[in-house]
Amino acid sequence: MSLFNRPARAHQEAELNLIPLIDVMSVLVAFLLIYTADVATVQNSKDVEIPQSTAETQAQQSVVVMITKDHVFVQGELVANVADVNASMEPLVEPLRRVLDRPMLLGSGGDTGKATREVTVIADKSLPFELVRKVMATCTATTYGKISLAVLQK
Amino acid sequence: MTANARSFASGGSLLQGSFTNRVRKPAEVMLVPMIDIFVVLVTFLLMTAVFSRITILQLDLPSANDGGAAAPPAFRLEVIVRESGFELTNGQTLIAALPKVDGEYDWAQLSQLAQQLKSENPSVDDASVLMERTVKYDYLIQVMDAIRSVDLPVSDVPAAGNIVVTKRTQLFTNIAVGEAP
Repeated sequence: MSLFNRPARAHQEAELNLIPLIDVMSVLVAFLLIYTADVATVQNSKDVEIPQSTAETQAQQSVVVMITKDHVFVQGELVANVADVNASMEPLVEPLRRVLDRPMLLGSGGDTGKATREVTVIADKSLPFELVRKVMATCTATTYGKISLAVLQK
Repeated sequence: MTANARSFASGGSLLQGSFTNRVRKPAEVMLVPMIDIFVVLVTFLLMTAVFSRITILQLDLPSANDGGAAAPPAFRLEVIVRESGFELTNGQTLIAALPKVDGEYDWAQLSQLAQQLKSENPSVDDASVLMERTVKYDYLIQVMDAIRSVDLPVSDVPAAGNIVVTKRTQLFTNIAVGEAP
């Protein structure tokens, strides 16, 4: 009963101090947003288990070829099925070559020289080397002079 | 302003309570929805970003520019990865064969041999990793790690407890990848 009999003023004074909480949270949000901006060029995906390595070189802005257990993507666009690539006897991956040959794949990166154009290969660690080799051979056969393998820092 | 509000409030008896309250209280921002959004943002960003730091391993590709011009180096480490184990060659002759131990590749021995070969040829940075077709991609990365650098304990810093201070030494940093013959 005594709860209801309290004067109204007691309710008004019991107030959380929310401003410091908001301060802390804005700092957190800003920090996380800036931090994610670096990694955003190479997105992580659930279908790909990237191998771990001691490499320390930071990922750069480049064309991303992602090989999951089932599919091959270029910049997030589905290009080929892993089963089809494995079944074909050709040394190169033809659908991948067609996509990589497209000019202006990376926006402004179209006018740079052949040797400096870079491609990052994100591949699942359980894939056979044959498949990865085919994809890398296709990249070098088109206009890309540099290949990097994406790994997870230990 | 207050006079206006009062005159309006006095018009209806129903509005009176809420209006007198609002006039008396200081202006307040609606903070709770904002905090809700912040909490969602923080959790989302934490989950997506922080725990996976992606780095890259750059491959050494033979470019069209320097092909044939430079003399072939005297020594070039080649590591052939087969289903049965490693084979180390210098391009022509076999240096060592490391068969699998208990179904696992002999990483310790490979790292040891890489250090030994680096100390014999300190100026050489080039190496090749040649893989058999069916070997998993994961092993390519691990072999590259093993011959690229090694963490050696630093001898002049006394080890505190069971924490050993290590220093990373670069071995063969320019690594090319190919298919096993």
